[in-house]
Order: sequence, then structure tokens, then C-alpha cells
Amino acid sequence: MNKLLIFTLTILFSLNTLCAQKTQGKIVYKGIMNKSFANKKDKASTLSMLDDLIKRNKDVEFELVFNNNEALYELKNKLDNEDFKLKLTKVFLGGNVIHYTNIKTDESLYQIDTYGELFIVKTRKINWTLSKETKKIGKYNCFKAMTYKIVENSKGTFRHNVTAWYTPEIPISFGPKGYYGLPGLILELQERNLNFVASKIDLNIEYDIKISKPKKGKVMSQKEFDELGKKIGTTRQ
Amino acid sequence: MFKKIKKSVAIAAALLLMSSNVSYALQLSNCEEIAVNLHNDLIEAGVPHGVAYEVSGLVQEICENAQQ
Repeated sequence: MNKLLIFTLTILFSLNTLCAQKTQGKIVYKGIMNKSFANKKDKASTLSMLDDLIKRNKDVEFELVFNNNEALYELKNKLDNEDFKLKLTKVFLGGNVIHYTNIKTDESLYQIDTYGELFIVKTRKINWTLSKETKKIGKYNCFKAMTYKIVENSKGTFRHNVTAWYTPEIPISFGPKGYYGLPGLILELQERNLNFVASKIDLNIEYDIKISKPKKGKVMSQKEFDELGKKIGTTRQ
Repeated sequence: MFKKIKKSVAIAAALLLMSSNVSYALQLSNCEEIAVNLHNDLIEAGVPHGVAYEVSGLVQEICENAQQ
């Protein structure tokens, strides 16, 4: 009887310790633009000119900071006095956006600095399709997962495929660019012509990581933000 | 009589202002034209408005700086 009691208490204690364990860390992702926007046929277009500028540029670093429930993902170096090509690459890679995720409250949003002001945009839930395909990234075994991103602009609705490579060996369900909800950390993400690859993983941080949810900006849904873009976009055309 | 002249001058001034506004709105500089074309090309390629807006703005800025 006593043995059974000790065994039960040991199990309960271990479970409690496991649950109370701090999960926190910092991941650095390298953002790379890897494919052309332009079609082969329109070599003379403004897009191919843009491609030429961007493909000769260096990588841009982003940082994902997380604790048990929350994560914040943003551009690492925000210095303003950079050259034009780097500024351009940063905009394409989402350098003017801060992503916030809270897995406890299932809240996901981003703060974007555009049209000359700040906006807080609440995002849609991500539905993943898990695959058995694997590959090794560094020392980690990764699995493939797929989803898609919907872009609505004045020319229509576009569906862009998104591929993530996550590792269950790091059981953290966060990733770059606000992508989350997989049974492991996303080490690589491909969203159209943009690639994000984890280059530094730090899971042994001594101090407590506190995440501040972005609060400044007009709060709106993704649909409302898309509508605003369409309105502003048509005045530019 | 004085009132009538005043009114016609005001109408002429308003028309002049309107016509100058219209011609101003239609005449784009080279850099503005490049930015507008780029914005439209990006939108057609399925890029979000926010990104197209920022990118074309940056391109316009660098184009104008290069011309100065």
C-alpha cells in the first residue's frame, strides 16, 4: 500500500515539475528572397528590375523570442540609415511587421507600420496539413507541414503556398512570421519567394523572458485591413 | 456692377484653380510613373497592398534622390 502511495506521489511530482518547467528561448532566422517575382516573359518589367536589385542583397535577420505561452517575432536590426536595397529587402521580408502569438488564449496578431501609421491586425487561425516527408536541418530531424496564405488586393484574391519544416525535438509550437500551431519549432519556412531559416537557437536563457504584446495602432481584422489597402491602392493606381 | 465684376473674377479664379489642379493631377513625373507602374505590377503579382505601397514609395524616393 505504502509502495503504491510513494509511486503515485512520485509520478504526480514528476508531472508537476514537467508542467511547471520553463520553456523559453530566442531563435534567430535568416530571411532570404530566393525566387523571382517576375515571369520569364516580362524581362523588361519593373518587377525584373526589382528582382535584380534584391537578389544581390545580403540576408536579413529576424528574432523570435518566446516563453511558455507567448511569442514575439520581429526584425533584429532596425537601424534606419541603411542603403536602399537593404531597406527594400526588409520591406519584402516583413521588416515593418511585429508578430505576436499567445497559444494559451489562442490569440495571434501583428503590428504593421504602413501607410504612414501603425495598425494592429488580428490574424486568422492557421490550418496545417502534416506530411510524413522529413529532412535534416542542422542536427534536427524535421517534418514537413503545409498551409497557404491568402492575399486580397484590388486585382483579386491570391493563394500562396506556405511550407514549414518543424522539429518535434524542440517541442515549441512557434515559428517565424507569426506561423504557429505545429508540434515542434519551425526551423525553416517558405512563403512564396521568401525563405526563413533558423540560424541560431538559444534555449538556455537564465533570465525570465517577458513578452510585451504590441498595443499601439488602429485595431482591425485582416479583412478590414485588406479593404483599407484596396482603398488606398486604388488612389495610387 | 461692382458686385457682378467681383463674382465673375471669383468664378474665373476658381476655374483657373480647377484647371491647374486637373493638369497637375494628370502630369506625373518620371519617378512617380515608375512608382505607379511598379505598384500595379506588384499588385498583379499577388503582393499585399501594404508591401506594394512601401516598396513603390521607396523606389520613388531613391529615383527622386538620384535626379537631384
